[in-house]
Amino acid sequence: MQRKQEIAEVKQKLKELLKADTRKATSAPTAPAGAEPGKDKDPGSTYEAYIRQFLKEAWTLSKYQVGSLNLAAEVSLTFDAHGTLTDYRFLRRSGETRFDESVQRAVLDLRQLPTAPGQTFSLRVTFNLKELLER
Amino acid sequence: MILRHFLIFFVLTLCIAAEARSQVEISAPGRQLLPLAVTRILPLAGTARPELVNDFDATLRADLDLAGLFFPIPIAAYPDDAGQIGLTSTQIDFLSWQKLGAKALIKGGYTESGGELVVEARLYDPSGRRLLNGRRYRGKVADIRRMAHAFADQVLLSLTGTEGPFNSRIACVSSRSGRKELYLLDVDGQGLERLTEHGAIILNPDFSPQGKEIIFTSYRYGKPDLFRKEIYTGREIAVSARPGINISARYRPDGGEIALTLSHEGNSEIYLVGTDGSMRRRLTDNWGIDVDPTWSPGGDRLAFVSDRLGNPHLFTLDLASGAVGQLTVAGKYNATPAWSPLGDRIAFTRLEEKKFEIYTIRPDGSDERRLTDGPGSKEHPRWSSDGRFLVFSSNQDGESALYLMRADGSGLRRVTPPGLAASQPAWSGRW
Repeated sequence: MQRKQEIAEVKQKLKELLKADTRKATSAPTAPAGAEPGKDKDPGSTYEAYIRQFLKEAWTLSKYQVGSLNLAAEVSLTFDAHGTLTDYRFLRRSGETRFDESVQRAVLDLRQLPTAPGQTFSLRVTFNLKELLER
Repeated sequence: MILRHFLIFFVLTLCIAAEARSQVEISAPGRQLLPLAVTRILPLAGTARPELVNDFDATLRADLDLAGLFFPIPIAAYPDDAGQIGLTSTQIDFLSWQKLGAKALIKGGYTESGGELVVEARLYDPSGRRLLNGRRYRGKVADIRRMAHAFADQVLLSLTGTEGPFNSRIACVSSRSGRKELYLLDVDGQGLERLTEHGAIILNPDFSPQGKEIIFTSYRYGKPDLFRKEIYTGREIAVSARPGINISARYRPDGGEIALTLSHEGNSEIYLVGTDGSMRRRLTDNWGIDVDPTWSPGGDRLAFVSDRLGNPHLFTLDLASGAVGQLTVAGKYNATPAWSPLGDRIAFTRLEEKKFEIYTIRPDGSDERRLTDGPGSKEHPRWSSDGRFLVFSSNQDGESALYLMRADGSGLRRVTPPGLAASQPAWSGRW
């Protein structure tokens, strides 16, 4: 009896998580240009694709500016309910000043999301040069 | 029980997936070339000298193009600020450059009076509205190109952390006089200057890392002897004239000693001598022919060519232990190694289908890469002092000439003008 109850609880949790998972969902009508399809209430998820695309386009760095291509930095971004970037923090720096400065410049270009998410949210962004390593 | 564990595992996996969902990875910059605006330097006083401006502009642009960092913004798109003399951050219309997408902006001015020239050049970051570098150069009108080279070096310093090598010299062997003599030229192939009049074959130049001296092998006295020449005074002495060959000499990075190939004891071996030619010690001892030493940046290891295992291959030698290791295993003929000043790679040539091509390899023998292809042989690669570029000689255009390329093989360009018949380059340190 107890086992059945435990299984039922686990199934319920599973159901809730699956409901929150937007990876296979269809596009939200309010999703910004470039956003991944999603109907969930998680703004971080809704704006993920837009932010990725924006930051990639804004990130300017030549491979000849850095001594190694094995570099990575991780930044936490926080947006308010209006979509304004209110805070950014380096969770991990690459150790190479020019790489980190280029990341910072790209982040600072992302001052405002195109539509208001309606609630505060944070996102972690990793910048690295994996594509250049593979060439 | 098994079902329960499976469900818990599945839930945990989903929890991790849900937590990780708000992570974004960007695996390459969208823009890998920095949009650069290079405005023409303007007269700060006196009369305009458009020919000087053209020289400065062309030299600076060519250097920055070779660097491979930049996307040059078309001049036609420049805002009115390009024609404004103001050089200070308060005088520059940064907003107009920001709108153009410029990530770097070069502005400058000059004053010429009685053959004396002063050039002021500034590098700005338009987004940050800040001065990244500023230099004032004084000299003769004839120095205009060298001023541009010097500022290009500063631009690279500001944007990469390492000064460029453009204000340096390349030595080479040329037969333009009918004999193979030693010449000196600028990195852009201009400023050609003859250094020797031996009337005999000259080989294998190498710059002193500290002073403006050069060593080379000359047949002046009928056999290959090693000479050292002070470039400014012209003073020249025979450093090593031992019986047999005295060839392929290379200054140790601290400038205090020279590694070279001698055969006075019978076989061709590599030796260490002082800069006055005094014998320090024999470095190799093998029945095979050992030639072409090149120093690691720390001066503790050498790479060299030996046929001790059959075909000519590259080997490394640890000076402290005497341990020798084989570096190349492929190819039937590997030659003329040059260890990068950065220490990470060794350039060399390999005979491929009856012509030499340039390769690089890590000092541990891994990650071999071919850098050149196409017609003609490419020989004698040598590094710039910053390890960014390689100079080499090739007959790919039908005559022997010098070429430059980036360390990854991109950006190939010819350096020497037609008719110079140049070969065996060596690249100086900062001049």
